Amino acid sequence: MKYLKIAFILLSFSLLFGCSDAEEPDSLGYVVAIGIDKAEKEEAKYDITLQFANPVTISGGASQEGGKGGKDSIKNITVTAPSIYSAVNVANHVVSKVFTLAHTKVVVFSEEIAKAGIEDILETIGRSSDIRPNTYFTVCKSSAKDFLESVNPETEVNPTRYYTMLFENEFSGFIPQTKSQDFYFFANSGEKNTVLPLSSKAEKVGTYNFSDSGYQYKLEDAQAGEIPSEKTEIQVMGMAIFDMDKYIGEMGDIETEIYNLLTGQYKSSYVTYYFSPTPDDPITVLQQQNKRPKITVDTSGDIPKISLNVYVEADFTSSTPEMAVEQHLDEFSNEAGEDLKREIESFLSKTKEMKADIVGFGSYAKRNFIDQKTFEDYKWKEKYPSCQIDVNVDFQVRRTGLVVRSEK
Amino acid sequence: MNTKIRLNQRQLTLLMSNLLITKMTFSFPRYLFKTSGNAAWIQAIYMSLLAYIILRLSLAFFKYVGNKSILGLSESLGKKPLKMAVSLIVAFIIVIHTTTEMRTFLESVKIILLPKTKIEYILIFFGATVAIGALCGFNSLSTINALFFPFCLFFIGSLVLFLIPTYNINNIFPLFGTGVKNIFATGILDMHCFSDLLALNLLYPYIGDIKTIKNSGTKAVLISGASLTLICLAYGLTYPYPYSTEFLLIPYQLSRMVKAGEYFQRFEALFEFVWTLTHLLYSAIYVYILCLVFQNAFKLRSAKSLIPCIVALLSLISFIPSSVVELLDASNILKRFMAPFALFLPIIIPLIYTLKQKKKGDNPR
Repeated sequence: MKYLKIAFILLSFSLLFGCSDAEEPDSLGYVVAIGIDKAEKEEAKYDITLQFANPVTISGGASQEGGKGGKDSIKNITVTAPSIYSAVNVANHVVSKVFTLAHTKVVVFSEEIAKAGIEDILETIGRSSDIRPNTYFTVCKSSAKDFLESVNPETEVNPTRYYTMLFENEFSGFIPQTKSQDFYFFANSGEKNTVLPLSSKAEKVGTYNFSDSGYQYKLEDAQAGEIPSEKTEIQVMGMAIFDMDKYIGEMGDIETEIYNLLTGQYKSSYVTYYFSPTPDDPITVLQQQNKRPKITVDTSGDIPKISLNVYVEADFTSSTPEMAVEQHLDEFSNEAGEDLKREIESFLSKTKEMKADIVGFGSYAKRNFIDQKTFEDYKWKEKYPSCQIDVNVDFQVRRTGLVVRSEK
Repeated sequence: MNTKIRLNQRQLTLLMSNLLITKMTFSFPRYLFKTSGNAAWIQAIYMSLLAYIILRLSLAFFKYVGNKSILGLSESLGKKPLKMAVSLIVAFIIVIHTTTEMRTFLESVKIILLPKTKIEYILIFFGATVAIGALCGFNSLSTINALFFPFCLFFIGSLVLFLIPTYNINNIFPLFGTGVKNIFATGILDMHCFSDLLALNLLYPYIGDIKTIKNSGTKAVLISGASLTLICLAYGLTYPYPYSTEFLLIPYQLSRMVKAGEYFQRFEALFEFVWTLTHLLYSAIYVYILCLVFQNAFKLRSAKSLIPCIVALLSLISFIPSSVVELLDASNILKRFMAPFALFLPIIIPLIYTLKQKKKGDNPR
């Protein structure tokens, strides 16, 4: 018993054991975003920008006013290094902080890096216990360093919250909800292609191009950096398409919304349609996807046949004063459904041209195979461009807002 | 050594569940995914059924041989030489399982929790805790285990539930993963994860009550089989093939994926707590059982003083592999090699004993 007591006392010291790896919170530099650009010298590989939180500004320091957001809440340091952790190592010697990636929210790849392939970065992210699997990746049309330096989280005190709000906004369908884990899983997959959100500095001040489409403002697809903006800040919009780990093309905001609808990631957003009796008056609805699309893939023949059923619900939020659309709900629903179907078909033919199954029909095709080898032998990605896709859209207007008008 | 072990049915069930689940859910699923791909959950069900059959077969001889363990039976069959041989095999099996689990745990702790601490320090504290646990005695260990282990099961259940938003049914297709042959033929080699059933046989003499042993053994196989199947299914639904075969610690990967609202995302802290306690109890229980084996083999009056030496020996053996890769490969080969002994000795020895006694015309008991 005496020995047990001694052993118990000795053992209680082990409770202090964790202290050997402890770091004081104020000695850590919390990296919130990482930007990766190509280095000037090829052998140096990357210019890596680490954007870290400035806790003094966030907490308010000694002032009684509380924390402040904006540019002061973050700081950037750019170093040349062959990998993310090498950059952290260099940065630890430049800034008087020990950098940790445990709170990293975004990794920004420059277009040039994304085109060359990002497999080595993926390898680091998959292996690291620091970087969380729900970190966001984005491809930047401008340099990643410029992008991060333009970030101005005016609306948030906490910079990680700023990125969370930007990338995880469920009420906007204009960016894909792809996290690092999703990209990591499917970057080398034989069943689907991957996409990442597009981002850019908003430098371009221009005007929209108009199209004939009756869907979404009749506007051509816009990508990040193309939305007219007086301020030079950042924009995240559209998506970059990858073949394996290489960036091969891009799509705009409206195509991304279609992508989200087809993958079931779409939640809700305000969408504008045009009704043929009043072709110049936009009708805006709160569009929601309460039921995931039903996808079946027939792989019995050489040409895969895909059946795609999309279910969309809508509530009127604004209508035309010219007529009581409430009295023509079936006609409006049919027309809106047809508009959406046309957009979906156009989107799918673009993916076929790009030879990129970004919707992931291959994942459904897998169901028809008994084991992995028979699926791999089918060579889904090679067959996708020639597949037949039958699209059906079930568009239902459920509610009309607080007003139900009668015919004039 | 105090061999007056008193375990009630609940304690024995949870103790056996710990021995089976610790390895099965924390480090073993990786091997299942390597064998069957994302059909690992089918292999888990298949292996659990086989383990149940093996257990029932070993329990079938109970009415002929009473509550004698294979060590006692081997002495009756072949005197001291056979008893020594069987004891050595049993000790070797326990050493292989304990040391590989110990080293895998310590290396994982270093990777996940204490990257800057020397592994020797982690080992010293782990070893000291295990030794003190074993010195406290089997009754204390089983009582603490009975208190803690339901929490471990609760953790596994909540993990599976919290991950529902991440599940993608397409990930478990093609249904038979890497192939039917791999699941049902090559998969038999993975039966070593049920080798811990041997511990139940070694505890026979200390339980006595056949009903307790039968019920506890059956329940432990069901609980561990269900846990393994659930973890494999959750992981297979979350991680697509071939990436599902890459990760070292599957429950850790799963706990990192939990996102229950904006503020509850670091589920791995709970994982680390459960994982550490489960391993401490697992190792302490096996150190004690190993002492019982030595005590029985060498007819020692007390084996308590062996505990620190055994812990030191296990620690040293666990550090033979030079790297994690070597450890994983070597342990898998050794465990596969020893699995037939662990699973079939509790059937073969009682069978031979029963046949011999019947031949003599004696009542086997």
